[in-house]
Amino acid sequence: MTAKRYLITLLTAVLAGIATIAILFCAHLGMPWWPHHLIREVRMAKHYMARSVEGPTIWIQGGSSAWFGFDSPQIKTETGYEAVNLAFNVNMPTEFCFDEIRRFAKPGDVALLALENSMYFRESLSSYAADEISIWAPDYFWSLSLSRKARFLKSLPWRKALAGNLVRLGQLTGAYNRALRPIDEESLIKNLHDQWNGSYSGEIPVYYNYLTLNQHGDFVQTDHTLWRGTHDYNLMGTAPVSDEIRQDLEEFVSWARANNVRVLLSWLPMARNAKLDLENPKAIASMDRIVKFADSLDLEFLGDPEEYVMDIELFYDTSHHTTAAGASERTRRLLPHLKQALSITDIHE
Amino acid sequence: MLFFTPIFLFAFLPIAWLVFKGLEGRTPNWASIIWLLAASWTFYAWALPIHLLWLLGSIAFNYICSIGLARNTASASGKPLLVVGIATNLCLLGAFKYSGFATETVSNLFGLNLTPPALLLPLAISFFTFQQISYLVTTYREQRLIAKPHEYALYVSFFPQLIAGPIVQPGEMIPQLQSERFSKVRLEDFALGATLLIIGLGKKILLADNLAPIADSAFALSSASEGSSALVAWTGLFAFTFQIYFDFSAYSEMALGLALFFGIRLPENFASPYQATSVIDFWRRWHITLSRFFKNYLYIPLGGNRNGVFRKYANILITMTLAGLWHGANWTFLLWGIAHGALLCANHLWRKTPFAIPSALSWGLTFLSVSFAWVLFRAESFSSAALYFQSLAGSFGIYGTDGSSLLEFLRSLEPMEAWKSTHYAIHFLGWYPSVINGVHPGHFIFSEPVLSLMQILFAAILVFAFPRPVAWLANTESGKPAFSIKAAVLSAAIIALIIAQSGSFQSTPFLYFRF
Repeated sequence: MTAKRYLITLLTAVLAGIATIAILFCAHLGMPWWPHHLIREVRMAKHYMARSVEGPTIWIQGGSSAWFGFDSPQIKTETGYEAVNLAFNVNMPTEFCFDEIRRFAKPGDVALLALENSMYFRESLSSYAADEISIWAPDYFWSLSLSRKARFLKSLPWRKALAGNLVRLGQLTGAYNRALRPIDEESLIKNLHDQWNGSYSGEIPVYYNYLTLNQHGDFVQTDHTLWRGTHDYNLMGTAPVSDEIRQDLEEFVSWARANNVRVLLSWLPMARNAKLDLENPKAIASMDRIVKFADSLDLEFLGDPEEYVMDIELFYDTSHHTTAAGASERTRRLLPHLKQALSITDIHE
Repeated sequence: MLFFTPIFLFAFLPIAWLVFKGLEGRTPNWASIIWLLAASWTFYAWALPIHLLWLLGSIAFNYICSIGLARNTASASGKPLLVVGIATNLCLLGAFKYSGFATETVSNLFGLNLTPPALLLPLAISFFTFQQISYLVTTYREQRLIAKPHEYALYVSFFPQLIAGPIVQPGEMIPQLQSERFSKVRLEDFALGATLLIIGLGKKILLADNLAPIADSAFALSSASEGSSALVAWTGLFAFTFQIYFDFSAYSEMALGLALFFGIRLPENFASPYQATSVIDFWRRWHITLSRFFKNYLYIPLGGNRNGVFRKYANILITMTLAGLWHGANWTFLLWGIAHGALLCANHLWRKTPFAIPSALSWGLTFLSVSFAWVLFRAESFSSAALYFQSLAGSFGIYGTDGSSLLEFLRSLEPMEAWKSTHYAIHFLGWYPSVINGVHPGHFIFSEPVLSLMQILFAAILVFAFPRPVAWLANTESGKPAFSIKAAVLSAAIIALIIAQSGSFQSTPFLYFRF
């Protein structure tokens, strides 16, 4: 074989290899199977709630500290706004989080972004998020820019795609329907209503499950192992605010302003512990970087971080998850600022 | 800049090659050499530009020395100049690489409180120092100036071989730079170079970097927990044995491939060393250019085998001890060198006996001896190495350190975190056969020990059953490149697997960069 012919053969074989990988990747996209059901079902339930609300609404978004950390019924009672908690996991890309609000928000609504500190500084997409999104939100992947698509693919472990393809194969053989088929949306909504009405007869898992949501999307179960560790809430680093959050929040704010949606920021609830020192120069500098970034977009934080430092008894299972009492306390501390912000620029009056 | 990083593969290399190709036929050779020099110095200075000062200073000093040698070899002043040149190179290497080690040793020996000098080790100093010594010696022997300044600078700095070899003799490269054919890129060279580069990338990323965590965790576990099970220790030992081969030979093959892009043929550095049937044979196949350097510039000048049996073995021991120390300023490297020296002596002595060992047995003994010696090379300290040997001997348990039986051990296996999704998919689809004697097949297959052993087995098959890439890609009779569909498909498969693995790929520098 001549060198020229060899190089042509090599190039053809490389293209065939890349095509095979692309086919296997596409085949695994949107192939829901356990253990991805949990987050997928939570999202479906939250979308159902989001579709159901009418009137001016406060859309809560952030990581799981937002999912666990708000008392939305209290917000509704105190502000008169509907409140829907769309948050579920800190690893989700911020663009994805904001897209969740963009799906439902309408003129006159409020986006309350309670992002975790790490979300301002992170530079990479977690493999967990890439895997989950591939399984239950493939449309998000297709909506990404080319550079973000490349980053997404780099974050996706190949073994996860392999597993997805095995499940796809199981779909062809019928094994999937016998063992792994997820719940359909109709049944999910029925179960959700049964749970709210107290008539659900099945077993309710303790953790990360759509049956642990209240009617606003807040997490309500609290019988889990208590967390009593230490955490600095990602304030001791020196990383600048990442380009990703800059771009995503800028775009979101511009979209919100164009659509008459007010954007407000909240600090996350933090447990008083040995590692948390808001007086430390590094922590002060980190908070300063976040605030300056918010100022650059003309965004307002509701209160100061110190106001959301709470007793460790109000937290359970992780440093970022509050108990129901913790969520209520955090919301109580937030409400004066929220009400003040809404009355100052109340777009409905 | 590492050969497998995107910046090298998709920016540096294409630019370097396209400009080189653009100069072809339009400019004299020196323009292509200057361009390659600029590219090589950019490559070298990429991580830390200050390093470049040392390289340039070293090149300038040695070239001036070589001018002196070329002029004075006929007179008596030639030899002293050669000695000064070599001594200066070795002193600089010693100061940078061994001053900390020497200070620490003296402090420990005499109970002194000496502070090691804080010197930043110039990248690749061990390699470019040796290459320049060989140039000085060659100039002295040939009694003429072998290269023009830019040719010499490129001979030392050529980026494919600058960081980790091969250590090139002047005669292997400089005539190529001076040839009419230089700067004329041939498609055959390009195709062969691309294939070698891809195979090297595959060996590094798909094999060495996947074996590294197995070896790292075994050696870390052994020293951290004061001994590990024999199973973990043997797995770790073989993982490292194959890791270091794939890692270093990958670099060498990439270097050969990259050099071919520019029409330069570099010497091979590895010739299937683990197929060796004796330790003497092993050192003819492992890091060939370094072995050759030590043989030509240390062993033979010491007298080689010319001054009687005792001196021969003493020379072997001295040479191998210094070769060990060349790898790093640590007693473990020194001991590794001594161990190989002793093995070589034993091998030479055995050859004098009338006994013959069947080749399969001699291969097995050689492989095991070399593998055992790697413990000294890989361990952080003497005590860690000793502990590791105890672990290999089963002093802390065979399967686990808790004295569990084989069945208990098998029942305790859990799937690895990285493979859990695959395991769960198979499990929930009901594709596993039933539990056997309390052992879940999925837990067994996807457990760390079994997956590690499977990786090692795969690596072993590649090492023992396949020819080395350079030989595989050449016509056995003419020695010219032999392109085949098999080579194209293998190269494409490697690229596809690298792309697929890129999500979980954690790049690690080449092991030999530290030397």
